[in-house]
Amino acid sequence: MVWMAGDEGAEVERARGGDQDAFRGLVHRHSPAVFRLAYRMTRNEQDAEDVVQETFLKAYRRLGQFESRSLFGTWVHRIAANCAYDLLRRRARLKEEPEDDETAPPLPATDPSADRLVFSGEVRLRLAAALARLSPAERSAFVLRHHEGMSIQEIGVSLGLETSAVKQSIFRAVRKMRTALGTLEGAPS
Amino acid sequence: VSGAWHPEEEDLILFHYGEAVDPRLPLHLEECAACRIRHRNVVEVLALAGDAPVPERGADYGERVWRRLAPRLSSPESHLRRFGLPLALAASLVVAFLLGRHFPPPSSAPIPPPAQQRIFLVMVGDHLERSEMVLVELSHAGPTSMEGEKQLAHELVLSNRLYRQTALKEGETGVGEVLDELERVLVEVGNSPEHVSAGETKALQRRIDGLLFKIRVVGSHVKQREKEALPATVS
Repeated sequence: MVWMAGDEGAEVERARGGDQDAFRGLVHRHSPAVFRLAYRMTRNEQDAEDVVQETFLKAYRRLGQFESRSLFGTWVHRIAANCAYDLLRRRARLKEEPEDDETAPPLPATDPSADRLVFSGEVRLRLAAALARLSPAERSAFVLRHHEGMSIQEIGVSLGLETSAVKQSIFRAVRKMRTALGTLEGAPS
Repeated sequence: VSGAWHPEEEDLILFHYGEAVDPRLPLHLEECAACRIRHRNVVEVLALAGDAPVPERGADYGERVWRRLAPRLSSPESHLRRFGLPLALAASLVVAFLLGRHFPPPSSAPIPPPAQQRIFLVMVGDHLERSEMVLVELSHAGPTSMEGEKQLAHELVLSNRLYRQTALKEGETGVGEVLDELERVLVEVGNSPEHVSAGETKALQRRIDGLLFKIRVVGSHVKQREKEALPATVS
């Protein structure tokens, strides 16, 4: 069955009334984007799949709280961001890593010339390593700002953080990525 | 260049994302070559960071998500009704399987060992999948939202015990050990008091997170063996 993007508001209303087929349509339409968000935040396919399940389960149970003025996609992405952030924090606690790592030492970087780095796979490897080492707040805030285009304020609401904490998380994330890459001064534009 | 003022890297990041910044910044970037380079470097790092690949999910992904999700959407009561019958059926199949293996009826042909093994693998694989779903839900639950999962955990204990005993009897030590750990968690969840403190919930969720990994590894191994056992059964 192919689900077409139609009048989503009506679909949400039907789902609220207990029509599971309508909710199925919403799941079909939004699950790929929710997976992308979850994967970018968790960097792990199985964790991302769990976040997708948890997101739609929570969305279904909270349909009564959904305000028709908003877009369902935006709403469900906020839930996904929150689920993924919770999972990251739990993982960090399990590994006994600081949840908000302000004092983490800079990532090792040999500072090879940017010209050589930019066009090599090493850039991707270094960035992947840097992203994997960001704290839950840093990675979540960065992904939501960079990939989801959420405003700093929206991110704060989604993650339950103060605006200033969101900003600092993004700044630290970018700084760590820059450190991982070494200086890009003089890189070809 | 507008005075001695130069933007911080934080300002350049916010500017890139279209957030509110010092109103002097756009004009300053036009006038200050050094800050233009710094700005370009920030933009390049952010562009590279946005390039990280995400695994493809395929055109049927929405339906796959739905199939896994749909059984969990009912109310806890109807969820139990849905789950209850398959669990009872599975448990009785295990009993029948054990009785048939160790006390085969004289008039019927014995079930060949490959088929017996496949039956066991299919049932254990399904049981691990169900248990995983309940544990995933528990690992995300708050202290006040565990009631439905507690009932399900209670239901799963009986069948888990039978599968564990069968696994150990058949020399499936790895499966047996994971089922043993699963059983202890399920009993704990099923018997947990009505009001669980946040600390107790966190402690339980830590155990569940560790167990989930083992269940996935063993579950994946069981499914693989199930597939490998299929041709022998069919031929």
